[in-house]
Amino acid sequence: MIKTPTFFLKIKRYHPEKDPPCWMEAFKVETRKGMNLLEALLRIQDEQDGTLSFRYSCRGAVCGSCAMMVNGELVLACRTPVGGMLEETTLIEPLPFFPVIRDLIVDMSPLFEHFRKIEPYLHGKPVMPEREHIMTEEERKAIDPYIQCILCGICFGVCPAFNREAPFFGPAILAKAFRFLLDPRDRRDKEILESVNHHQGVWGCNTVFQCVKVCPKEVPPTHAIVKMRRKILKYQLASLFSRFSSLCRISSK
Amino acid sequence: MEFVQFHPTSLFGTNILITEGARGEGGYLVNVKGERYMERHAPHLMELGPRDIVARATQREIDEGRGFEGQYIHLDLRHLGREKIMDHLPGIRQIAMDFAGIDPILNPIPIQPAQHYSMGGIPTNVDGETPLSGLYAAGECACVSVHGANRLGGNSLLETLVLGARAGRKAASNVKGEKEGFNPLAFQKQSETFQSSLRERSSGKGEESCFRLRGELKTVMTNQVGIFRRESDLLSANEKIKELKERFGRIGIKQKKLAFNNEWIQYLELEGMLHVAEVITEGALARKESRGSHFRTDYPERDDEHWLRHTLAHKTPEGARLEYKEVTITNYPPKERTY
Repeated sequence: MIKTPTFFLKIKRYHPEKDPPCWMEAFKVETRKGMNLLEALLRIQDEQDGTLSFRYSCRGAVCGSCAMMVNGELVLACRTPVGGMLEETTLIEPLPFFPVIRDLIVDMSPLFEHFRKIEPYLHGKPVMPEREHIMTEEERKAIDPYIQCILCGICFGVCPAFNREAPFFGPAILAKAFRFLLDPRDRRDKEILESVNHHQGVWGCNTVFQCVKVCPKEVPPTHAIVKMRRKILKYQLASLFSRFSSLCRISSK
Repeated sequence: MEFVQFHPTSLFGTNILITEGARGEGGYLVNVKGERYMERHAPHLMELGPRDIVARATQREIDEGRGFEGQYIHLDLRHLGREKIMDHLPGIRQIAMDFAGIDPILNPIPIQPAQHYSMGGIPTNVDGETPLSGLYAAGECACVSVHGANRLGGNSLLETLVLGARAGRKAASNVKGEKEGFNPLAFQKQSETFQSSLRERSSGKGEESCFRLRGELKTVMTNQVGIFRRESDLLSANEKIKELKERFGRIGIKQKKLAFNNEWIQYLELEGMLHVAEVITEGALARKESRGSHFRTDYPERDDEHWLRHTLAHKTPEGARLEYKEVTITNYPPKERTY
């Protein structure tokens, strides 16, 4: 039998009750054809160290639980094949910019707190029950790229604005706000724009497109942010103009 | 619990689901000889036959040596063309590329049947109430008996959207009304048992490990209680499960605290798996007929006279005790399935 190649990893560990609480630990795993990183981590947890902690659930890149940093890049462990990483030791670290709770598990509450703030569910317009909400194919397609988000937090881990200050809403959340703004069935319009019209919202973004580059589901948050900025400016310009013209009317009387 | 649905098309290797939609759009199932083998099994419906029939046909192709590398079948979407695949099945294309390194526009997808859904579960009424007062169940873990012996694709929505909400509402209104018969001490006691069980486990030597037992259980359930079942296999699976249950008692856990205790989670999950495996096997052994997803090679016909009934399993120290309940037939009595 041909011996399968060995996968060498170095994992950044953290346990607050240990001294020191943070350390690097080396592991090695016998690979099999087509093995992915999550599988390798699960094998370590099963066979070598039951205390190694990380999040996972679906194993199929739909739940967004297993985001982590691999050789400096942010990925979902479940869809990262180990095949391309067998040359040298692979460095595994938790998602950056979030507080670490244990090993590769980070506290994602900043993400979910912001998520709650934008009320990320349909605020439907009143409809005739027999017709329900009719949407055209074009309208659906416009929302499509923003629906793909799985809240994995990878975009937060590369976002300079989130790194600078945790109250920044974050790319995924702003993309989600835009998704409801685009949705013809949602009655909110101004409300959504107002909720992101500040420096922790669309104006905090550095527009460096890092989030667009790393998103595992190809969601383009920066595009959403730029489009919302334009809409806000348009609104403001329109209201300025109407105020100005009413002012002119008054003065001419 | 013997009614376990196998989905015909999961990605070979990882068993990630490849949606029925891929065949709905016109995908072909092809064996190593290049044949669309559904022609022999459901000539009128072809690839759009019911899940159990397509899953059995596919497994038979593989078992009889007409699979690729002896292990999988091709789901061919190439004739649909790039545009249709990109427009209607972008998610499936992504899964195939990420997890099998294959672009369905250019190459067929390697697939195999996989365990998918449990029609059985904790018996509930339409409000999620179970025989244990104060315990509610909804979703796949529950059995309201809306799916019969074979769930139709898409019908889980009923459980997620309707029955979950009903169970929640009922639970809330029962708490308000302080329904009689509810015993809060039962839950408190269970919680104490839970804590002391961890203490006990973490003080043992631990000659056995969870992942090994889980692996052995997986193998026996796939090989002997899977798509095709027969008495000799089911009897031997039963023996194996008993052996695993006995070895389960010798598992040790190193971590003593509850937070992030993966070993403890694995242990509890395995305990549940062993009970469920036993109930499935016992139910399948007793049911000497074939119905829906349950297929016995030694009893290939449906037998309404003896088996048009529900299996109810009770937990006893000696294992599962089976009882039966009559089926309420409403608008659609079961009839012969010809496709």
